[in-house]
Amino acid sequence: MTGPKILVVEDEFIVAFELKGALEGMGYTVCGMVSSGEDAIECAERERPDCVLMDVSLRGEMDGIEAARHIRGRFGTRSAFLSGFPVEEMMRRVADVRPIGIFVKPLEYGELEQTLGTFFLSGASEID
Amino acid sequence: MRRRPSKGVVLKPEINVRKKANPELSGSDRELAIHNRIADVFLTVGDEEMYEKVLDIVLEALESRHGVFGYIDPEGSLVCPSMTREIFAQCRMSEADTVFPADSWSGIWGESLTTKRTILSNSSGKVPEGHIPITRCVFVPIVDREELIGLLAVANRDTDYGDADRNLMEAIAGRIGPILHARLARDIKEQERQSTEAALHRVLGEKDALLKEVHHRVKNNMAVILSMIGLQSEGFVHQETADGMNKIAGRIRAMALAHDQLYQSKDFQRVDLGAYAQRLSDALFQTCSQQAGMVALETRISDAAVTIDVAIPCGLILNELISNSLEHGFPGEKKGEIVVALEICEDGLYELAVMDNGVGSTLDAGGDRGVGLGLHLVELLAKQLGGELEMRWDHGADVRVRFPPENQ
Repeated sequence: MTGPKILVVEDEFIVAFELKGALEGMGYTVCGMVSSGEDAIECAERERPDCVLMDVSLRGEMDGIEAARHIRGRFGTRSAFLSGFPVEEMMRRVADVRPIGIFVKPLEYGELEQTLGTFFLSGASEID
Repeated sequence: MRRRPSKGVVLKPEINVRKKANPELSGSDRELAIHNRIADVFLTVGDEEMYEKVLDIVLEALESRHGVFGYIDPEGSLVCPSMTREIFAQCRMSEADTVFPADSWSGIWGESLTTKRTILSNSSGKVPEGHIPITRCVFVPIVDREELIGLLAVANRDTDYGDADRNLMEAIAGRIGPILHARLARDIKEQERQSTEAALHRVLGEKDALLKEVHHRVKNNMAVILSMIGLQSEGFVHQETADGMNKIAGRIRAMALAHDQLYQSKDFQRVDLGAYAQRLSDALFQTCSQQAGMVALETRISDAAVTIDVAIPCGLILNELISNSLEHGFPGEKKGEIVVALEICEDGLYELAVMDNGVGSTLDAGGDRGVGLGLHLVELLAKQLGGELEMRWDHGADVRVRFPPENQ
């Protein structure tokens, strides 16, 4: 597969697995599936994905927003966020890291496909 | 080492040039005047300055340079808000510390406190290193109903203290006793109130955090269930089976959205039913994008807040009815409109309605509108809400549920 590379960061493994299938169905390559912020940074360094699909609440010390900030700072890679509950305080923090999109779980795949499609087609993935 | 005087300086070096306190007044009148002044301070001055002001009056009356006015705190320690750092210059305590635990009581003042007796001395006593020298002194414990509640002391007058001074000090201490006791009791009550309030806030915070955690778990579990359904569906070759799975997923989504709406409410008590109905309608139109392109959605939604027990049946009813309209109301790329309405009736009942201008009755259209599991669920859920269900299929669908907002 040659589609853009996406790193999936999600601590519910079943959700992550289904997400992987859905993304591959859309023509993307899932270059990694990890469940913590620390692993996400490490995997991003190794795989250099074109974007990250990041769950906000993760296991461990670091949450998804913090991990996304590191990844964007170090590799320029932007993230799309998944969240059970996008509360105001979280949305403010997310806005700081220029998210590709914010998706409420359970996911609507149509919405996800549309947003990712726009992101890659517009060339926004190259800018940051 | 030079020491900075603290806020509550009671050193009165000018005491000798001060006018004697109304020498023309007789002993008891003079005493009364002192009591009145002290009572006035207790009534009008806040805690921070009260001890200092009272001590000023006593020092003036006894023509003394130094003094202490302190109270016993709930732990049994002597607290001297009015004490200067000059007096206990060589303190084992930090700058702000004027608290003396009972086991540190020593010397003349310690003896006075432990024996609850006045001690008068006109000879220099032993003081801790760095302490100002004490030449003469009177220490009077303040006692209320046999309980030691404070200490009043004067020291270092130029002349010896006598019985008259002792009597005056004891009289002052006797008058101060009940007022000081009332003040301390009030302070303790206030502290208790504050700590109870703080504890309540803490518990409320914990409750909120716990509820957040639970709702988060519910949402996550629903996401996992939906993922499992999605994964399982990939294996189905029969359209009918896949459709069935989709319907189940749709119902779970509707429930998950109710939890999401509840989470947004902050207090976890009420769901904004209007906002929920709007989001659910939009989401359903988004999922059925094929039909949705041909069919318009109109929402007429009033503001209404309900508990999650009411919101979920409402959401599931909307889910069935809107899906039904999208799937069966407009066969063959027929154009049309679906109206979702939430209205608060005059009798206080809520009315939830889904109407469309699609194909009419099941018989006319030859379709399966008005039958099937979806509508059976609507009947059940309407009953669960304690509501009345009205279904008409004359010109498209017109389904209404009227229900009491407070179910039970």
